[in-house]
Amino acid sequence: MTDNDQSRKSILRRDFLRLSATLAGATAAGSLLSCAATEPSSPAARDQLLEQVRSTRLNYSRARAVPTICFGCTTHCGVIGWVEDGRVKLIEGNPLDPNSQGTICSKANGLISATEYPERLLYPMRRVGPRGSGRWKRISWDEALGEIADRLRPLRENGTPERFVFQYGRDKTKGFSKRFTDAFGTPNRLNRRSICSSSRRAPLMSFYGRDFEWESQDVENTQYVLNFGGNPMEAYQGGMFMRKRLMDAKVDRGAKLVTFEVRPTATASVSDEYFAVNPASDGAIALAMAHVIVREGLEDRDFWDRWSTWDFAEMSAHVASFTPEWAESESGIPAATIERLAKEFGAAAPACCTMSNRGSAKHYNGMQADRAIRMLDVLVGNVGKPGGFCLSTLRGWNNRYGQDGLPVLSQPAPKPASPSPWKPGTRQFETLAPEIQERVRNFPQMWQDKYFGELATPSEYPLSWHWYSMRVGQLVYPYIKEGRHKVDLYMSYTLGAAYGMPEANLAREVLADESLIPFHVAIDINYGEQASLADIVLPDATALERWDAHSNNNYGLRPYTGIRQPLVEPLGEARPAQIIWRDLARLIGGGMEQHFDFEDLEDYYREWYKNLPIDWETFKRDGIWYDDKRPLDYELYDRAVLPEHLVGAETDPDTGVLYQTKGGKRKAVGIMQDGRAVQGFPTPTRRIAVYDPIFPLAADHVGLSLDDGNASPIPTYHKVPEHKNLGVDDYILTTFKWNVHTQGRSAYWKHAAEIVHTNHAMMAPETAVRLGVVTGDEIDITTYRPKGVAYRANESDPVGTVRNRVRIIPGMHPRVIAQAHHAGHWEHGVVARGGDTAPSGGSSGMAANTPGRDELSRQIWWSKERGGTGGGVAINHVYPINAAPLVGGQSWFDNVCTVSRVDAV
Amino acid sequence: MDLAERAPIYAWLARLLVCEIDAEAWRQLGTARDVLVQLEPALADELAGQLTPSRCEDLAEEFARLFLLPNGVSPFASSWIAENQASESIRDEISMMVGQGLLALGHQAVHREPWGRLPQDHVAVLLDLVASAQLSNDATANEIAGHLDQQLLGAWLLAFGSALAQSSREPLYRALGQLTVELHTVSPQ
Amino acid sequence: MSDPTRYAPRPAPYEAVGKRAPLAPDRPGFLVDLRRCIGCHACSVACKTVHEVELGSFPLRVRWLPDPGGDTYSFVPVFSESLCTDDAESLAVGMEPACARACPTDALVFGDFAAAGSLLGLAELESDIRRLAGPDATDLKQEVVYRALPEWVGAKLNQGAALDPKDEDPIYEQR
Repeated sequence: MTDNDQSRKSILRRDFLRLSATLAGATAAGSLLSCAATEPSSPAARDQLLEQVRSTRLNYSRARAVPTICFGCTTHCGVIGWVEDGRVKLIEGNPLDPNSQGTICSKANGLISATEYPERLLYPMRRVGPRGSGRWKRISWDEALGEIADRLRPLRENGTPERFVFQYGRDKTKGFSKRFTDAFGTPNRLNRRSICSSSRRAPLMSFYGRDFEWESQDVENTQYVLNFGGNPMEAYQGGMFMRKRLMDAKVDRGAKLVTFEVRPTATASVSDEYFAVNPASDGAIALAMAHVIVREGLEDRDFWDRWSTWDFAEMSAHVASFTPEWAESESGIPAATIERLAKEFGAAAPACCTMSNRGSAKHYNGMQADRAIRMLDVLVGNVGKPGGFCLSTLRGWNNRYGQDGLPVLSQPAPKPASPSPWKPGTRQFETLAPEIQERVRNFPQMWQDKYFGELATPSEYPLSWHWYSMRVGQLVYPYIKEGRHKVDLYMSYTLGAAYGMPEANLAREVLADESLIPFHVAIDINYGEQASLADIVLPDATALERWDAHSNNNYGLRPYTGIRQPLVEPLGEARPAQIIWRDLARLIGGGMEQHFDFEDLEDYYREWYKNLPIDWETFKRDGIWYDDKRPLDYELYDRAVLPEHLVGAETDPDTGVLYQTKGGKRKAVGIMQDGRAVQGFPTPTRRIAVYDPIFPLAADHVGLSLDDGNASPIPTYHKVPEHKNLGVDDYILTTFKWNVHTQGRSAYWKHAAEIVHTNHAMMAPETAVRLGVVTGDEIDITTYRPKGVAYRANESDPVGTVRNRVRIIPGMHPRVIAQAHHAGHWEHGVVARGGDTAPSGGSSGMAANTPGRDELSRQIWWSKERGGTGGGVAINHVYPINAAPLVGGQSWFDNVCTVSRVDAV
Repeated sequence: MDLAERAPIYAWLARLLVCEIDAEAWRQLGTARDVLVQLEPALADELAGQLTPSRCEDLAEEFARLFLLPNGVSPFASSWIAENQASESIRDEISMMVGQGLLALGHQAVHREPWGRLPQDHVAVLLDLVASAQLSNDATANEIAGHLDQQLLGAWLLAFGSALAQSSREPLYRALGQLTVELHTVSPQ
Repeated sequence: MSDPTRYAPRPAPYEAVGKRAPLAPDRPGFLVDLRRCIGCHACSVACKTVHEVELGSFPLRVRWLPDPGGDTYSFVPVFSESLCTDDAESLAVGMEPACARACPTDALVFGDFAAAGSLLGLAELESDIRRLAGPDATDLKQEVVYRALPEWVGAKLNQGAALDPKDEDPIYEQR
């Protein structure tokens, strides 16, 4: 009730009638939002409307079924959307997708939630109060892009393009954003791969080459899977392809799934055996299994000798000390069990495989753990075999390894050149601190040729950019804070760093600081924590409203491609990111515009796919293309070297490697095996680099002691430093992902939020007893800095404290406390906040008991005011930035913590 | 008030809720000055004069806070109407009716700057559709209008107006919210 | 080497609509194979999306029930008798319900219990097929049978698909 109620009278009918009459005279202009069609509608159409009082749901006969590519996670399955009356009403699988084979998960329909979310960003906005105050006004696209271009242009003209820093969280434009940053001339197209999977990709690329950065276990034909901390039934990039195949293998053919985990996941629940292992002990188990396999003579000696770079006798000597008894003391798994599982695995070979993503890898010792796990497959010779650990050709077709016969699909010309590396003597090199200059000067040529400054290619982590640019995303904000790179304009794209980075509080601190980030542009679909710290916010089109080229790993061992096409037009004034960058490029000018010379985005992609053997309309109709006559990608390494690679090729008599010199460059193209010239693996040795000298080389260049396990050229085990001498009251705080959510950006998808909306601290029953707590009690969890070679290592002050509620989960490892992320948002709207309309950033919402609360808010039955658990707690401030040496992968799962019960006052 | 009487006011409201208050909208507000001042006396002086640039900025900020960002007053029917498994699906009707309604009326939806392609359940879209159907000289269109008014707007417009009247920091938007409520609750005499 | 024709995709839905006769089972129902269910919720989210079901109401809900004395979960999709309509819109165009189409592992199969020789027609004859019944659970859809249903599930169900303050899905922390 307003203060004016006393003086305000209710409006009388005659006042309204008078107003109505006045307006009726004035409103001859007609409808604001529609206009007369050029063709009048038929009486039949009008009658139909009148008849349809009770509408049915999606009418499949009226609707159009349009294929596209999902965007619920990074697996990007082919899907089909049913479109009716301008809305997408249901999403289901596209049977033509050879990975997912028509299957979907719950997240696919979350795209509809995201597209129709009432609090979604629909307009460009500019802040009108201090940064972070939550005060905004709408501006036009012209105004927004004009201002951004005016700020970017001088950087380019003054020769300091690297001060434009672009960072993405999820970019599936398949090179379009790179087209923009390359055309601009900045090397700082940063990402967040290191808080994701870099430490599980590095081992794979070390073994098998850059082209094999991801594997495709042939679970369809396997008989035995050793799963080290993977969760394909819930959250595992690419995991969709495994769900039906692996469940069929288990149920129909009796295949066995063994899971090592720290908590009872869905995958653990469907496993034949599940073991709660000590965190970060996976490598110990794997090495002990190698020990057993060698001892029992279960190895495929021929395969090892043929393909491994590590001498068998030396390997045997190395694994001799990793006994099952020793592994029992490290892992908690009985020695006899380790023995049995190793023998079962060996006996099932070659129709057996390991799986690890990424419970084993995101530790200080995780890279070596995954190398040890990968070694098991090499040892029993299942690599590339039916039922085994297979490797399919890389996504993106450009005549790469294994791609002979596939049409080349590349961005339309003219593609901009990439920026030049920061060689000694260049202006950018001189901006580096002296000790960095020194380090880079001593780098081998191959690294000097791709060094681009500390944000893009942190010199302390050369293996984060050695194979390709995985980078170290969680160090970007600390580096900016330390002054290692001067930023003029920072652009976030689908990035949730302010919420989801380890020590997200530091990200927020840096983002809020205009002396460090003078200008921040955020491009996103929804108004999240990152957007709340921007100066200009630009609304992106959702996956249902946009084009993208699509390529993905071939989990079905069948190379394929697909197209993401718009099912509906973008709502409001949202625009696809490609259009945003195109228009910015044109406004910036200076030659950038030549790389963005297209009007209709569809024309751009039609050109991209011009080499497909089917026509464009057919491709759009089907959504997916693959060559159904092409053999599956088994044993690519055993295929003959291509004739064009044999021209002028020379064989090294010692190694058997074939080299071809083209354009002055000498390249390994194959290897002689039994007198045959075969392709081998895309590594320098054309073999599997189980022994890889890159690790001690990198260690040497960054000053990492060769005693640190990360420096070992051979798979080995080293204990996480802070896990040595754990006190009896110390626990390991971990985090994880649910099956219905994807990172931090799905919390407002209402059907997903309804299923999982909070993130209580999960612990084993015996842990709760020890702590004197029961489910629902409040606890404070305090974390501590890591002890190895890491950011702020060994500082004694805690990282932070989070207050959460206990949830007892039988099957949890007794030393582990687990909190999911996804929840604990304070932006992203009322669904993500669990019905809480509390103020954020200064704007005030409605009081809980306001009669005017909308139905959407009221429907949130899990809100605290309705007696529910609410929207969870923000947790990322207590997860320390912890980039593992050399590769820089975030050790999410190592955090030592203490727990205390919060007593009611 | 019957729909024929309310329709011009609906069209006027649509104009004021679809985007920020500009000079043209200010002029339109002036037409209803008597009614608005009764609702919010503080508006008396302001509406008598021109829209100053600084007030324009204030109102634009409030428009964004209310309708374009979380924590405001959602202008979308889908926020206000409960979906129901068992009974009629209002949301389905909205999309079907807006799509087909336009067709049946011989209209097509336009995407116009600065609001672009509005979601079909935006309050301005619904108000505008009902008003233009009612104001056309066509008995069938009028019948459609009546049906749309009952089904599309009747379910939620009052709640929306009430929330707007309570949440807005600007007397102007409070007045518009209150006006919306009273338009439907006005007594006959 | 391998057989490139091994993978033959099933027809895309857009090919089916308009070409198939409506499904008109005499005794429509579901067979839920709990050996294959992975608790992914693709089914329930597809149902709630296409039928625009309000939050808090569940024609179908996937329960994660802790194995008694064990350390993992059994996944049990539970249907509501009052709210599930067998997705008449899909049947009308010859497609099985959206929930069954969404299931990635073929754990959820729709069919006709009265069709002799069909999967559901034969199901009730099999020894490991049981109906779900719980002393406290009401509103359980009648025409649903489960393969490999653990004995203890019924007692854990409380209200079945509906939300319940006594809910024992610790993973999801409904309350």
